[in-house]
Amino acid sequence: MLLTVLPGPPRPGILDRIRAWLGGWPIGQLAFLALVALVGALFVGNVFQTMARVGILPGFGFLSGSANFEIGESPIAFRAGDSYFRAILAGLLNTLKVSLIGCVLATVCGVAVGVAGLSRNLLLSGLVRWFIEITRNTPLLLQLFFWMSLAKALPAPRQASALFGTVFLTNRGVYLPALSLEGGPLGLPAALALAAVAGIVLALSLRLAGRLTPRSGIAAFALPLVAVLLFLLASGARPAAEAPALSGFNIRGGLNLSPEFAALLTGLTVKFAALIAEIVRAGIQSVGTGQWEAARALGLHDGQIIRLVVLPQALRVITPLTTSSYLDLTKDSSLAVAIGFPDLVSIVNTTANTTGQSMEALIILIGTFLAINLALSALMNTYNNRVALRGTVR
Amino acid sequence: MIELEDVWKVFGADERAILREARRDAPDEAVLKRLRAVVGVAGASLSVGKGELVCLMGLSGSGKSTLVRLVNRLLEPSAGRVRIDGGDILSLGPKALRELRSRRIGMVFQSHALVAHLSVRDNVALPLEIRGVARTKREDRADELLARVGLDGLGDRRVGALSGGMQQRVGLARALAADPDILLMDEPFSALDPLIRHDLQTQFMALSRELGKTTVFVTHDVDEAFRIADRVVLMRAGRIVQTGTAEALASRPADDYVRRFVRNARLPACDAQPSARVRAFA
Repeated sequence: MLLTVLPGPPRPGILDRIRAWLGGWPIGQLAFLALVALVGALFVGNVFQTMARVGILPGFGFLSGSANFEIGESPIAFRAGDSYFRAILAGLLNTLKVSLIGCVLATVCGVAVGVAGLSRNLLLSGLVRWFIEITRNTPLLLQLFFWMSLAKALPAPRQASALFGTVFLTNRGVYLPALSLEGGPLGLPAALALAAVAGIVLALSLRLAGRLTPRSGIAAFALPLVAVLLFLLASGARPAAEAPALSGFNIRGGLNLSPEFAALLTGLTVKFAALIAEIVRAGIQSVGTGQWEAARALGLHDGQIIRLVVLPQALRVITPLTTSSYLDLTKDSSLAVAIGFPDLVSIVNTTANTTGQSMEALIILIGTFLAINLALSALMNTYNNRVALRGTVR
Repeated sequence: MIELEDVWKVFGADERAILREARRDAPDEAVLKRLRAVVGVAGASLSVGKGELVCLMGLSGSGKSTLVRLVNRLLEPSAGRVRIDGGDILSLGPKALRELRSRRIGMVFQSHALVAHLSVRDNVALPLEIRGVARTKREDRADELLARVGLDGLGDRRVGALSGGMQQRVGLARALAADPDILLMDEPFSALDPLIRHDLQTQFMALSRELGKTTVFVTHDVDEAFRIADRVVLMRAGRIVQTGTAEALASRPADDYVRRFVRNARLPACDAQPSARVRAFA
């Protein structure tokens, strides 16, 4: 039998594509394009004119100038006189810190609350219902004010009593016990970062070799971690748990979260835990009762049914929706400006006020948030493609 | 083998009150309506012998799917006794009940029962996996069963990539994986088109004859019931109206309902010789 392989239709050339785009009304299309360009040019021209009139030089040169303000808290050292660039970087790190921790906590709490909401225990599911409805249906800004005033209403350090012996809630912030390694060549954060990088490299090379399974993936991260910790212990580092304790008028030692950070983190976590709980509930309910029944008929117990049958199928509903919650959380962290937490928005705002470069400040803000969120959604889409289902099951 | 004795299943907020009313000789419909009662199964007694294939037949809502779920306690009976090999299964604790389901009773559903994210092989091997059977062993067993139901070599496919008829075969293979002695089939072929349904019936009859599993098969299709069953149980409004072989139902219908039901049915006369099973239970 003669078999002829026909090529698909040829891809149209660039001229054909332009012609297709111009369509039946080429003059109209071009006129509209020109109009849009004209309006844009008017706006830009106006900005440049105004800036010239008040004597501000357009451009990003101001970033190297020295910023004459202090930042309440920052993961990197900053003091008045450092460059605007460093100030904005500090703000970005603050935003990333609160968003990242917020996403993790909101996910953990959200999944727990969502599953609890499906409980047959009426008291539990009723409480969850109330929690979700109150949190979902009030503005986040209002909730942040609530948490902030709560944080400020906590007792002074001297009057604060320790929760579980080690956690202090005070009007100067929350004090948590911290774990540290002392005496080694590396600190704990550096060691963890090193292990994480090694883990990522290992996992990627496993993936390239086509040998990445859930089990080998866990091993890829666990092995470097164990290796790094063993190396540190061998080189003389001693783990130490540092508990905060009252000394004089203040509490010293341990990990200190400022009232603003604690309030923002709590607000974001509570709000988005409620949203994620709803997503988890919807995802679990999207798996039909037939699946539960069939799994029960196989002799699985409820835990196995959730773990082996329901959750993997619920993930295809949960993942894309959770992604958009993560994006919202990151964007909503900019409400920090209202309670005085120095996040990216609040610092860029201050920068714009002191330098007058508001156009550039806006561009930096938009560009940074776009970059964060596009990277986050690219990451989540990759994950989603892995859990997504192909085909249908009756 | 399977014995149901005066089994009731009622649905509603107050099962005991509903049951009390429904059990009276002339239940007051108004009272039942006020209690928002649904009577699923009303005093059904039935025994299925070892290796017998019994069809539960009736219109939608006649209680046949409810009744079959009482056998492995997917639904908890409101009253009555359910015994398997003489042992009362209503007294089993949760663990023993799961044990019974995973080792002795296989079940096939009409649809939505396969685990969509697993491959065909993993679906069939699932009952063995939760029992802790080693991977190679359970996969061999799964492949053997897939070959049995005519899905040779399709183990690596995703279940979503299979047609409806193929998915039902996977369901059957999964029900057989743990080598149970009882099979419960809840309208397994009802959602398939007629040709495929006929093929699957033929294959199922051959397989069932070979394996000799005690089977309760739910269907609303008279032809299907008459074709495959050793004995047919006809249900209406939760009650068993008549029990007997296809010939008995067709030649001596107990009442008008049965007569209307079997009027247009094809008797399996096309099988020139009655099967060994039919002879054994006729």
